Amino acid sequence: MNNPAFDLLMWARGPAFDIALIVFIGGIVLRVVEIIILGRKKDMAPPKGNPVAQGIRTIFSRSAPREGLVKFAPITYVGGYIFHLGFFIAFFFFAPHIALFTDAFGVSWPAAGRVIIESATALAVLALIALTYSRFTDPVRKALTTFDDYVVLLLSALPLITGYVAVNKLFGDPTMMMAIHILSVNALLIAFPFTKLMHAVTFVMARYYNGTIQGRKGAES
Amino acid sequence: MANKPMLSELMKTHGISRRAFIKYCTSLASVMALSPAMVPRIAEALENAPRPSVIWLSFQECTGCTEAITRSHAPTIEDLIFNAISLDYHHTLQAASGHAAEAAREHAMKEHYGKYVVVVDGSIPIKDPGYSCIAGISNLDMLKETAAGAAAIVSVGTCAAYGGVGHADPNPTGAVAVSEIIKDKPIINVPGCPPIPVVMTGVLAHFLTFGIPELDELGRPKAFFGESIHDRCYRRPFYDKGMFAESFDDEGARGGWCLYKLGCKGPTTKSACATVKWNNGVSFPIEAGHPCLGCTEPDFWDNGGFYKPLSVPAGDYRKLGLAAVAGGAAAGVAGALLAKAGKAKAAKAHETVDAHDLEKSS
Repeated sequence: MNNPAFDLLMWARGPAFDIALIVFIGGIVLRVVEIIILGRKKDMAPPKGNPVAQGIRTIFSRSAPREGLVKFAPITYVGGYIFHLGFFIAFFFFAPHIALFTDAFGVSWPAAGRVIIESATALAVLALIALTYSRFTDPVRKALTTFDDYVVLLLSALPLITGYVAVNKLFGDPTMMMAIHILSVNALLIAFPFTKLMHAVTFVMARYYNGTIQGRKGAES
Repeated sequence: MANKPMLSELMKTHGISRRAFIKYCTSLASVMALSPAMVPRIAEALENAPRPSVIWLSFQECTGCTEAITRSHAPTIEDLIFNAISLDYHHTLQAASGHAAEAAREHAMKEHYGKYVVVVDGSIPIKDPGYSCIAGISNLDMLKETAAGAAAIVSVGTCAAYGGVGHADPNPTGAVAVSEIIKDKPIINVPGCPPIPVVMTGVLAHFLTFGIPELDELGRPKAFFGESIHDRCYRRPFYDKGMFAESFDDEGARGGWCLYKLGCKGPTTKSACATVKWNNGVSFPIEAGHPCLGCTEPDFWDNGGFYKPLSVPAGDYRKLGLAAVAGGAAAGVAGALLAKAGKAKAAKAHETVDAHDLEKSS
């Protein structure tokens, strides 16, 4: 006699995870290597300012909103911050997730308590809902949104929702929900290199590049 | 059956007071999640229940289940409940052996055909019946033959319930659970490696008093296997606070913190261990400082490693990750070079066109 939920969990954290990991890592490396090798045409003109310093500065400075923009697009900014922070807290400070890093890299750090993790998760999901809502209601944003964007929103929300349900045993068999949670993460890993999720890696390169353009012109980025 | 003493008489001979008996019935009602109003009914049923004939079949097993049920300090009332049934065949416990023992089994089957209870511990090898025989009879044949006249079957231990260690990958003997072979009889699974003694006796008591208990989708009585160990664990507050033992001898381990990171399978394991506990309620594995192995669940031997947390990948993913880095880099270089070659080709094929050429062509 088998327990289908347990078998699915073993598949999710076994072969399915292995496949997802290969696609995730292989895909990221592929894209980064390709971007670097393709490169940009060398600018032969002597720079007026300091492109490297401005490039590095921009990597960090663009994490803060520009003046006036929060008022201009409050849902995008506030929702964006809440989602990213919530996702990071839930991902990096929940003990079972830390166990994964400990197993893979031998590093460990203190875990956050249930209240913090669950609040962060709930806020991140609410932020995602608000962000999706604004994509539907704002005509400009709606026109800019592609099918991929909705897929990415869904793929980002599923691990948060299924993880919350599995830990709190809201509905369904907890083992099955844990299996679904890991499968949803596997789906996110597989989609990552080939969708806009890749921004989590390429933002460094993009911001640096933008910063150097300004720096080269002698402007502050 | 009539010449066999009823439980009340047995109690008298063993010097067990009525009060102790009612106390036992109350705790049984409690562990079986029954209303306190049921206590008199349990007592009455146990006292007046005809002692059903029980045939205990031991197949591919380690005798741990029998050890567990007999090692409760005699004479406990649990022990007596066991005496209250008529254990007509149990080749580890009975004095007779060989043909005499088999004769006892055949006699019990003949006399109580259709009414006896079969308790099975151990898995059944079906790859080659010769892997496990008793008195020259293969386990498969003995189970089929004995189950034919049974009122119900109780699969005691994870081996009988789900295949257990014999069924573990690569399963050299083709070991299967009782439920894989017998399809036409009610089967109660009492998994565990071994099961908690009071759970075994509790299930038998329930069978005597109220018949087959309510079972979950894995054939386990819901009263004992309805909740996960994690939900009833006294270390759960540490899990909620994010306090975990990182090794078996660190501050967390000494302080009794959560054992999740040491591989505890409590969250996916349903059993009464954390509430009923072992050795007359003294302790249970997690209380003794060891993570739960998940022994009441099917295929728990193949759950990716006893000391691997549930959230950690079960396979050898590190090598795959390194291979993915190499593969991704190679594919990236190839892709970029291909794009560059395409660019160079396009540049080479580029023809300069000026306004005069355009005018000519139009």
